[in-house]
Amino acid sequence: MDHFCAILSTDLTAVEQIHRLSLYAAIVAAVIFFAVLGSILYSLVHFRAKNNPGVPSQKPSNERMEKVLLVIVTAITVVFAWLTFSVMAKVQDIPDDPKPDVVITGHQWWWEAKYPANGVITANQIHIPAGRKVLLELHSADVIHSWWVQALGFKMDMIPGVTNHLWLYAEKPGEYIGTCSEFCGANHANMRIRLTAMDTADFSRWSRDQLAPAVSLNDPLFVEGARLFQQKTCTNCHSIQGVSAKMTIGPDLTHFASRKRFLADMMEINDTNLRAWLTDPQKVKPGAHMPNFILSKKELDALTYYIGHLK
Amino acid sequence: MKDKGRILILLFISSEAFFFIALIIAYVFYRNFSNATDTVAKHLEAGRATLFTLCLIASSGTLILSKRALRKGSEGGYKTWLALTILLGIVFMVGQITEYTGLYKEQVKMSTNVFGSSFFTLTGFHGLHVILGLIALSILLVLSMGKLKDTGRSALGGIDVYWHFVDIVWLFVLTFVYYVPLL
Amino acid sequence: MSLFIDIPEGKDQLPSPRSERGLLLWFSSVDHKQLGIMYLWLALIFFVIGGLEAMLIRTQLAFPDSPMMTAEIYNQIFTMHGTTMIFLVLMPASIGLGTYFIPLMIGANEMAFPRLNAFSFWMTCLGGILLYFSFLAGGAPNAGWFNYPPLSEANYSPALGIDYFTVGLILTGMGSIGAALNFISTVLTLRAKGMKLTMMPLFVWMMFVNSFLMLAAFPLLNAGLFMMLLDRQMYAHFFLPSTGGSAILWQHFFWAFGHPEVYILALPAFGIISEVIPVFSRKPIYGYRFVAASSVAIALLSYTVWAHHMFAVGMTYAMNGFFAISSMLIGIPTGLKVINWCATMHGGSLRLRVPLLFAIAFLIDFTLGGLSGISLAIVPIDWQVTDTYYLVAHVHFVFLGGSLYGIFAGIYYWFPKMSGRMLSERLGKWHFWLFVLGFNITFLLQHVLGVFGMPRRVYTYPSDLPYWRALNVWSSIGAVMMFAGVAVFLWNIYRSLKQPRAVKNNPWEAWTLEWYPASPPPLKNFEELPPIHSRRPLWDLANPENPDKRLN
Ligand code: HEA
Ligand code: HEA
Ligand code: HEC
Ligand code: CUA
Ligand SMILES: [Cu+2]
Repeated sequence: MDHFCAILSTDLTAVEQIHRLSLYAAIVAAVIFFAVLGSILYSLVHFRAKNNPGVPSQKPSNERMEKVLLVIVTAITVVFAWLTFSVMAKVQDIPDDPKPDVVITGHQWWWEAKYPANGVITANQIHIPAGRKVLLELHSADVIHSWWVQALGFKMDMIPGVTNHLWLYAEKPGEYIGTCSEFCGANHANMRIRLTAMDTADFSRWSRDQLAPAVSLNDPLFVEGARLFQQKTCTNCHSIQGVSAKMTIGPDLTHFASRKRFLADMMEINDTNLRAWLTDPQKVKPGAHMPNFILSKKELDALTYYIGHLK
Repeated sequence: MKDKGRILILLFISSEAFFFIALIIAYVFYRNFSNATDTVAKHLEAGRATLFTLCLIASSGTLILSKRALRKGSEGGYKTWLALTILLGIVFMVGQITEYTGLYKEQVKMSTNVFGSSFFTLTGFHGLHVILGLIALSILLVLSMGKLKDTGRSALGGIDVYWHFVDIVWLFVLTFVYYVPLL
Repeated sequence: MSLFIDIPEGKDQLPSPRSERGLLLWFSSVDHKQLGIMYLWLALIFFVIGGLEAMLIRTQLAFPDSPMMTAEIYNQIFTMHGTTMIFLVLMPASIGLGTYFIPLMIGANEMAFPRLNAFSFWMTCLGGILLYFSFLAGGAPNAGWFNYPPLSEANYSPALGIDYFTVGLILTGMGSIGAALNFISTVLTLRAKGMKLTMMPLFVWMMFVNSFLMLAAFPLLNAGLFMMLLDRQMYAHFFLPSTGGSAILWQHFFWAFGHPEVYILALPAFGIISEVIPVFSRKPIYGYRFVAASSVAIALLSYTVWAHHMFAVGMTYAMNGFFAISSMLIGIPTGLKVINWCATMHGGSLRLRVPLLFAIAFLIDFTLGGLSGISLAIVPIDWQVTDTYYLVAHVHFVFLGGSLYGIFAGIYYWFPKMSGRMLSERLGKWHFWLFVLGFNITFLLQHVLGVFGMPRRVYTYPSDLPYWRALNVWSSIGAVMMFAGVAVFLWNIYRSLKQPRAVKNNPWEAWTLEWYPASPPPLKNFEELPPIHSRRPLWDLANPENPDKRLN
């Protein structure tokens, strides 16, 4: 009984609570399943025509057994209904006036993250502090997506026109993966999540770095890249703080190079990959909402260099 | 034995009822969901709609009278009441058409906003049913003039239920589209 | 060629499609047996197509980063797979069996409205053709079988596929409504003299209840589909949040139809199982009243559970709780049925022929699928595993382990009646073992995949996640076994149809009226009827010394 009630104790995280609930459900399901299976196997052994020839009794059934089993099944249902209610209340208690730590918006097919507390804006690789519960506010900019990082919390849909909330909890710093889990079109499979949990000191250092405006080097290639970024209309979709580029159709690139992976965790950030992406986005991620700019080799060099240095 | 035609038509209209329930739910939902609806719905002319509704209700009445006349064996009464039913139905449709053209002049269309979408869908599907009913009634009228009198009479048993149903659906539409916004 | 062709007489055999004008006599037919058979052929053809699509899915997913399909193609394939299997395989198969056997089982010579019957069939057929025509018209629908907006709206899916989807489904929906109208009227007006409602065979009972479900469910889908079509073609705003619409309303409409729909597909199978198990256990069904009444309970409950498909959209605590409880409650009447079926076998004299084998596999796998359904109704569990392969596994355990096994059992059971020939028992066993083993390999593993985090509807997956590769390969290997099983099944049908007719009226020594006339029955089913005083008139006929209790 102690163990049973432990499911409701507060020292379990949401994920652990759900895990334990699943375990109970699995055990009860297994018992029911093996009861059914056992009864069938029993009949198969004892009552096959070979072992039980002749015409069986045709007496109409007395229906007492039904009533007994009906009571048992109902009792199980009641117990699980109760468990459902209590665990649900435990793991999804959103305050009436929620103050989200991170506001995440799903886009076809990337993630935008804003931190209302300090104004940090980033994309795709999202950072959270470890060791405390983090409240997310979830939106969508286009179609329905769903946010799911299995190890830290459960799933919540991101629906255009709707605001949803979800708790995440990472006990230890580290990298956690997740995935978009509502079908959202061509690149649904490539819309994965990589979440970095950091301890508090690291997290505030990271936040401070993110708040700084984009670096500006004097290097001619960098300057050329910055010019091209304006000229090639990249600014119509992307924002880079400190430069006149403020659109959110594509991911924020202010500190692009400080992230490890891009395109919603599709590939690692390095020169080759970045170059491949800028050469022909449609080849790397068919369907992605970024056109092919048909850049010359020189322009590619400059742009790759520029973006690759936006630490 | 049992009248299978009647069973069929009753089942059919109960199925249709679910269709209209869905459309009405959509209308009501969007009304609560966005204020696009109330800006227009409040200005719909409920009085005029009521007038045309009375025609539709009257047409149900004349249809009942026509059936009664038939049962009494009054051929002429049957035809007259039936013709009157059709006429009243047409008057109702004329009302609908003027309503639509009026809204179109004010740039309220299917594509304007959710009010336009849900209003035209709901009333449009209702209008479609009225037209189907009118066609069926006209066929009855034509049959009653020609040789196939008996076929027409047996079909009346189904068509009248349908016509009353269309009538009742309209009462719900009237309530939710024209009256409730005024409350 | 003369303008008129001879309409066959009542006592004639069904016309052979091979004879001169035979095909015409089929296409223009209003006979319930011919239409039933055409429904079944339609279902079989689409089952092969939908199954081949499934094989494409499993080939693509057997290995990560498979180059075979692009995302665009994969999305069309899985959408068409789900839509085909539901609307063009299970629906016509159950309606087909109903069309063929309801009149026979209640001692009637026809459906109440033969022409409506033909209309329903051709609507379904036309809907299917339109749906597949989309492949030629610039791309099949690609937004999943439940077609969530805004993804399915014109600005995100401009290709015509989704328009074909809506129109095709509206047509098949009308066909289903027509069939349901017909079933109810037939049952209410054409029962043989003496057969009370409480004496009808359980298959008829379930189809009867099912028809009410169809009547109420399909209009909801049609209303939603019309709105979708208006959005796409006339620039309405129903489901477009960016211009004032609501994406969630579609979900409510769709699932208010969709959940009853899944029971619409399950109840006919329940009915078949309730016929097969008693006959092959040689004893009457245990708890007839419970089995019949629980169907009514299921039908009513199935309208109160739809939002369990939407636990993750962020509904209120009260909403989630309500739909969780109602979903769990459905387990009670369904459980009653399972218990009754098990109890029927208990104490019987089991003839382990193919229909019974499928019925037993049904009991086992459907119970598993139902239990995973209950686990999904437990909201917090659903929050973790919804939209993963755990859900895909649930879907297939209830659709294959439930409905499809039931239909297989029904086809093996009734094939002799429909064609006058037996299906081979030996090939049937091959079909059974290959399919059932393959099925359990493929889909048991998918539960695990889901728990390990694999989302559904992905055309590829990362190669570096533990166990994902192995589980996917094995899942595909199981699919190959199912493929072999279905191939054996097709061969079995083909082989049997080549043989001459040789089956007596009642090869399984069953007890319901459809086994009274010849196999296959002549155009007019019954010249005369046996006396009907109990639920098993043919038992009474064969055992005059020990008849069932008289019920009328
Ligand atoms: C034939 C079709 C069929 C059937 C019969 C069922 C039966 C059930 N289903 Fe299933 N379901 C689907 C087809 C079906 N389902 C499909 C197609 C989807 C997904 C659609 C999609 O997203 O693509 C789905 C999805 C689905 C979800 C949504 C998951 C999600 O999207 O996140 C849920 C959640 O509650 C659910 C629950 C149930 C329940 C509680 C039952 C119950 O009716 C099961 C009852 C049966 C039993 C429980 C077993 C027998 C009982 C006993 C032996 C007695 C003892 C039992 C107890 C005490 C519990 N189903
Ligand atoms: C009745 C319902 C039904 C049936 C029978 C099946 C049957 C199968 N399904 Fe299906 N499935 C669904 C209903 C069904 N499915 C639904 C509703 C979805 C959700 C769709 C969505 O997300 O929108 C789905 C989704 C789905 C997925 C998930 C796709 C995804 O989310 O990305 C997968 C993956 O493994 C799958 C696999 C299979 C397999 C391997 C079979 C096998 O059992 C198939 C076995 C049959 C064959 C293999 C046919 C063999 C054919 C021959 C032998 C013919 C050869 C001869 C000639 C050419 C003449 N299905
Ligand atoms: C029409 C809008 C649009 C324009 C113009 C555009 N992009 Fe993008 N860009 C996007 C979108 C959308 C994405 C996200 C694609 C995805 O992940 O599916 C993206 C992604 C990127 C990324 C990867 C970001 C990440 O963190 O994943 C880089 C780098 C990038 N774009 C650079 C550029 C450059 C350089 C230009 C100009 C030459 C440019 N973009 C022009 C829309 C645009
Ligand atoms: Cu975003 Cu799936
Ligand atoms: Cu459901």
